Amino acid sequence: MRGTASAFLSRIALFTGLLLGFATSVEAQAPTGTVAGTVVDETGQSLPGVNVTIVGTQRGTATDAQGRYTIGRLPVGSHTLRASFVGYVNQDQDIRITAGDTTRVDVQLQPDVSRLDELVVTGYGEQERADLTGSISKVEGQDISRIPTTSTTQALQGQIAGVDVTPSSGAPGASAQIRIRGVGTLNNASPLFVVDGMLTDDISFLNPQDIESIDVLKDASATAIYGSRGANGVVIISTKKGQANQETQYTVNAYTGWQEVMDPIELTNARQYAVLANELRQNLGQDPAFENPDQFGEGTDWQEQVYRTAPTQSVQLSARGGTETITYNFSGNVIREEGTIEKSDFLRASFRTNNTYDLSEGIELGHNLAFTYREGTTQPPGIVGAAYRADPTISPRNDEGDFANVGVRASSGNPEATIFYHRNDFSGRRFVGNLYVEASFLDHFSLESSLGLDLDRREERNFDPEFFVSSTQRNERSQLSVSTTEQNSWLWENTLSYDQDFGAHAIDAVAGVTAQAFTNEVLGGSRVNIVGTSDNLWFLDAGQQEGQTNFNSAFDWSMLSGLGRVNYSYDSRYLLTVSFRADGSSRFGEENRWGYFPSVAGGWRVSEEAFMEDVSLINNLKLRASWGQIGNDKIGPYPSVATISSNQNAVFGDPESLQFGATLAELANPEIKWEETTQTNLGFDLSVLDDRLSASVDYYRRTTDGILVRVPIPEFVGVNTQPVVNAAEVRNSGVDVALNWAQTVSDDLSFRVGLTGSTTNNEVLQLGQGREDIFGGGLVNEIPFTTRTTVGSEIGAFYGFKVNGVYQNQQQIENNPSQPGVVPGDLSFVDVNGDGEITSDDKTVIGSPIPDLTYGINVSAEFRSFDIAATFNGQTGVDVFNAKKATRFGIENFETSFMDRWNGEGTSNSEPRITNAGHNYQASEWLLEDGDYFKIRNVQVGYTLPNRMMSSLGMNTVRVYVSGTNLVTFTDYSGYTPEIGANSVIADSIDDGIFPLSTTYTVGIDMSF
Amino acid sequence: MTSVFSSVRRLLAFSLTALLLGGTLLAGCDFLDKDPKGQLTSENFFTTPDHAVQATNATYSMLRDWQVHVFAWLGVTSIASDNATKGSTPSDASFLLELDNLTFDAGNIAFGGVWSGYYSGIYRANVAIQNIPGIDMESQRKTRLLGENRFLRAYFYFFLVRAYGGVPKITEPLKPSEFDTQTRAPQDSIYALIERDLEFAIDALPSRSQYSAAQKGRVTQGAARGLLAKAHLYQEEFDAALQHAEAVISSGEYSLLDDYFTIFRPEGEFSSGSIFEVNNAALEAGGGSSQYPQVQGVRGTPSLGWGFNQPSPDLEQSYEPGDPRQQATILYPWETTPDEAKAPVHINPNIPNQRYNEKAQAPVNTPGGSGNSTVNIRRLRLADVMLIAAEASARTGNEAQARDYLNRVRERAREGRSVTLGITPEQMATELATTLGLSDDGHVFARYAKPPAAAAGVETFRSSFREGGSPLPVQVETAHIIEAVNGTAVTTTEEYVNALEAVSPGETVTLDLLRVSQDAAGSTSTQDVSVDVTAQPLLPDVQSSGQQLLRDIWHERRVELAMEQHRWFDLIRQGRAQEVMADLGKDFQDRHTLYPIPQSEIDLSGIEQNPGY
Repeated sequence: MRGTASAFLSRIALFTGLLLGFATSVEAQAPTGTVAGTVVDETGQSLPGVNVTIVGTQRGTATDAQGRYTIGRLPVGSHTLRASFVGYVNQDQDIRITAGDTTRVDVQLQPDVSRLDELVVTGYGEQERADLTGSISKVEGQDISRIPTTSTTQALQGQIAGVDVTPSSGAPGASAQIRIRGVGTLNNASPLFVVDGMLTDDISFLNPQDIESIDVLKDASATAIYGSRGANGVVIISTKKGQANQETQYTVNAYTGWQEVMDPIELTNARQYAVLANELRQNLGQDPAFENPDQFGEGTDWQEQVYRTAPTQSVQLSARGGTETITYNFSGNVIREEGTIEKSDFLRASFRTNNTYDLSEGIELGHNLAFTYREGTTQPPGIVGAAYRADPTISPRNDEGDFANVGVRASSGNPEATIFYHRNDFSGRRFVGNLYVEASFLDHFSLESSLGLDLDRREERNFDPEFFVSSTQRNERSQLSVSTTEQNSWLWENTLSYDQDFGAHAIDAVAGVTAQAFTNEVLGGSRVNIVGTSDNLWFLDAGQQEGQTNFNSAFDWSMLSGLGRVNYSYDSRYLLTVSFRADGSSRFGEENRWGYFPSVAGGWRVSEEAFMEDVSLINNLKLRASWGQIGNDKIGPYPSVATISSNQNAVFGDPESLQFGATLAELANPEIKWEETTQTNLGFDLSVLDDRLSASVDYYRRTTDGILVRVPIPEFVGVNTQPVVNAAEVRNSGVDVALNWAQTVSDDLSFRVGLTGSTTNNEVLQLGQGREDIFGGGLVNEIPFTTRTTVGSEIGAFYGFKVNGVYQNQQQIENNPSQPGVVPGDLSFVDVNGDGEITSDDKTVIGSPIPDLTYGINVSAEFRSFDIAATFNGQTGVDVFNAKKATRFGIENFETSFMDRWNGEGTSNSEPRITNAGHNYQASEWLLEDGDYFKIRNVQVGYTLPNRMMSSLGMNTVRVYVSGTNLVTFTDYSGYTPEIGANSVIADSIDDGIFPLSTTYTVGIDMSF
Repeated sequence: MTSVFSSVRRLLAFSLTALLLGGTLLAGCDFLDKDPKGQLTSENFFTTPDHAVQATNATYSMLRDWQVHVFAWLGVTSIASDNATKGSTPSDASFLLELDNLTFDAGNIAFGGVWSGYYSGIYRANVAIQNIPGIDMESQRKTRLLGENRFLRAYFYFFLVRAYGGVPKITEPLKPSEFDTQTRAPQDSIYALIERDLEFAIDALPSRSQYSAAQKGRVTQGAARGLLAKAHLYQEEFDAALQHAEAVISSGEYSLLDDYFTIFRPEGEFSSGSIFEVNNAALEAGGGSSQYPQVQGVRGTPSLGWGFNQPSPDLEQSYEPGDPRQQATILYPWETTPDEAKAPVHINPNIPNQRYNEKAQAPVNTPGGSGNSTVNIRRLRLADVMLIAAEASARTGNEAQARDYLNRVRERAREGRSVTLGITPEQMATELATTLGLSDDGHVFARYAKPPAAAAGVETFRSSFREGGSPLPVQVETAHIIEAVNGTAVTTTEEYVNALEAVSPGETVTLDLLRVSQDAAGSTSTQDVSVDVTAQPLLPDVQSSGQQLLRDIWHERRVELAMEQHRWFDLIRQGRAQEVMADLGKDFQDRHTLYPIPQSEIDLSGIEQNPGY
């Protein structure tokens, strides 16, 4: 066995071979015995999957499907056996092993409502919750997999205090924007993801059903071990593993369902449109567009034309188990999601194997390998906007059956035609995995070396045939573009851990060295006049040589780090954690290449003090405080180098040709360095009433300094790209609260209620020399910007005019400060600076893109064989800028709110007269809407078939369920959803026509046997 | 215990090996040193003659830039003037409307846009001028490249000094420590720099005929002289302006192209009267064009662009009776596009002005659509230089010579014709004729009628848009179709012109007209009309003198160079912007003689604002 394993593994990597070379020669032949038994729960039911370990050794196993365990080859003498299982109190039992005998020890576990011994994954280690000094929240895999989505990030919504999740769109396969404790940078504010030890920014490859648990590291004490990458928080994801000594357990999880657009926007029908279009033209002094608006009825509902009910399915198969020396988990999943817009769909097939091998005493080899294939179609660009703008008096097709010209009055193309002609296909293959060797020695030490790989290859293919719908919606030459992106990364981590108790003193520590390198390369081209339209011809060779473009670009970065952490506890009462990381990064100039990130945290378990013994109400009370510094390196790969801008071409000659041009066109800043965040956290954990109610409350204050901003330099310098410097400073502070009530009412009924809530207070403290504000969120026509980030305000605060009703008559205009050209029916803006006229100086902060409070409610209950779980989430104190309403080139369709317009004195004091542009379309409160919402995120009802029925079928469990996701959103916002993600933190919560979210209904089955 | 120690030893061995291996791997290949891929950096550029050429090409590429010759630039040179309205839909680009209405302040983004564009051009020229001398290369070529960059730097500064007055004078790339120390140089000093650069360029650059075909489009000695003449004109240094203008005229390199229409078509690029134009090419792969034509292209059908910078009604009316240049300059919805495609132009109900800048219209069939256009940006023509010579002659007392230059320009505009009936005749587009139920035979109609034709009852073509009908180019309110001139049947504009050949000015000519009109429902009615018109000379030679002569020269500049982005600065230079704008009901104040320095620039650098802003 050893020999074959050695031969096999030595081929994998040199260092494992080295390790094995020594491992195979370890001699250990003292007299031994065996311990065996059964583990049951409080009701006497056998418990499979319970970890049974011998304290102080590396020996251990897990119970099989009948709750049985066996641990052999134990040295003769006294030992402590520990049985531990998630959700139950650890049970320690003294045992005595005699040579050659099997000692029987049966264990009964009691449920642990306080979850104090829940293992929490910290960076480069694990800790029991009771010993934790930092702020870390955990979500179990089952709470993730309950949401039927391809995206793990979307499934996190509403689950964790301090974590704000906003879906990036409702498109199939779309991910979500995650903000942990506010926005601490003007650049990329996304957290770092660590999947089974592999550091990545993109977890789209993950199948949510493979997830065992997710731990979110929020405070500096927790994140500082990730140094330069921890400033936006860290999300650690552990995938499911097998357990030793467990018979193979097969599970099948499958669901099927359908999705619908959640809340269609209320738009005018053809008759209403004709009325408003006439009124608009009349207001512009033009002839009416329609002679008789009453001739029209409902007309075309373009949203109905474009959106559809779309199916979704997922099937997951897995096999999990282990022998004495090997654990294994194989899983395969196919998930398919069609989009609610035609020609948008997503398919992902994934395969994972997470195995461990005990090679010899104290040497474990393991791997977590995932391979993912994905393919799909992306909806044509601008479809959502076109469905919103299209003229409802026009049918999608004319009498001859051709696509109609929808752009006669509106500036929109025919969305049906766009969907019909345009194709954008993608596919991708990704391998993410790691292979590690862990050697335990001298009882208290273990050394681990892990090599991770992330290999990603994506292909994209865009094709537009030659077509003609109208002069503005046409394509004169068929066009094809193809591109391939290859993105590879490796990570090598070597850590040494130490764990020892000295009486009341307990120490565990870790130190390590890691290196990571990353490359990205894009290769592609485009062609015109493709010889046909069939997808067999969507290859560059099928296009014309003349007019071809080809491109190839690349970037890379690398990082070298040292890290260390010590946890110390005295008598389980006083806890201390100190951590440190040093990061060297290729992104920065030699002078500033290294960054150092320390943290310190302390905890006091008040409830363990003698004076608390009499306080029976309180089961646990722990006070925590932490301080630390972390960095954000999410900036371009070469910010400190001035590159030559090429392709600055001139046109000369007869015949004309491009003459290559290149010159120096940017200023480099060799002094650039990390953005540095200092975070302080004060919190407490409390559980009372026999651990039924537990609470975790944290106050944090996070100040990011040296935020990389492009500082404006005078334009006469002549360099268009402003140099990046470390200048701005932003502070986030707030409170995260998590409350849990768990109760077992009777043998038949138990329930749990969880509440999470977090507040964020964001303030820009400084923007760098010469910089007073950063404007953002410009819209295509009228509004150069909608947000202003300035010292004293929050990042990306909405900026525009305050509105004080609608001018009812000329008298009012004359009596109030106003802008030139204003007529009755126009919005009355507030003269904020009181100078008697309305100018751009009267623009002010009018709203906030950052919610004051986000919250989630999780309820679950089990009654006999039924279970029900529901998640709700919401936010308050946030606004949405309705940008799609502001953009009007022609006579676009109107939101029904326009029907309430002013059309004569006294008709409306909120909706102005119908115009298409000008005064009323400046950024103002009129275009800003309340973004508060409360959403029924998910409700699931399940039924587990009775045990006796199952055993006769040879099954362990069979559970069927129905589930609804994004069922109802309670909001005043007029668009599809007030949950608007953004690419840029300075232009957030701006609705420019996002792909609507779907309501998803599914039925599913979970089986194990 | 032995085994324990052995395992420790082996572990240490393992760690050490791993560490050494890792360390060697990482240190040996400078693990943390990464350089940009596929890009040169500042450290390895400007080392070969090719780099000198590439850096010069990069300076040229700024001429096609959005901020240099497109959007905001059209605003400040043309939309602000009396020649053009903002164009496009009322809501589109409100900052340009502020220019149109003269209601802008220093926060208007147009001023920051062009400011940054022109200074980017100056930066590129400065980078080249600073680095090329150090490159080891053939000296004549080196001198030429330096001359090109200095011409372009002068060209960029010439815009800035006219738009803003004195500006920071930057003649080499600034160091970060110098960013804060710049002040505005006096206007004279900027002009002095422009003159020095252009004089250098005159010596350094080949004449147009000396360039090979492959170099067509590079700036020439003639361009440098012409620009220098203009720079002197703006400083009212009329002797110098005349001297340099005449040097261009007498160089033998340039002559007025016979057909005014052709100048602005693809075949007119670099034609005999062209002195400096920015070369754009509609290459299959793109990358060789600017958005100058797209921004001004027909908005709607055919889809040639966004329809900004539209000729104003005031410009339309400023032409003398029958001046063919009006037809070459303004494109109307009843016409077909001026390229070979001859696509009918449709009315766009969403935009208030239905006149397009015909000089900037791209061919309909251009690879990749209207954003990729071949239309060159004509920046200096011989007619312009002749009018500079005329103005300079008049100002230096040589009125006969002034009239001679002026009349040479007018003579070309007459295009071989001598008599006008006050009508701009136009061939009726087939689509329009069909719509009106007219026969297939050709028709000539009165596009624009000025006295004497208008006095005799011939009306300007009038049209409107009717909602909901088939896609008509227009609904005709009134059209006068010229059926016969003095009894001679006319079906083409050529026949019309020929029929007038026999007529002398002062004679009375009988026009047989078909008056066509349509009612709102689309039904057409016709009426035969006959009117007598007194023939007049077309664009007669100017005989005036004194102030009137100057005004005649200025008028000629307006119509000859209309929609070529010279008008605003001409009006300012001539000191009559206030008077002209007042006639249009626009409030031109003293401060408007210069545009405001962009507010953001003042905030950042502390340089001084122009008076009144």
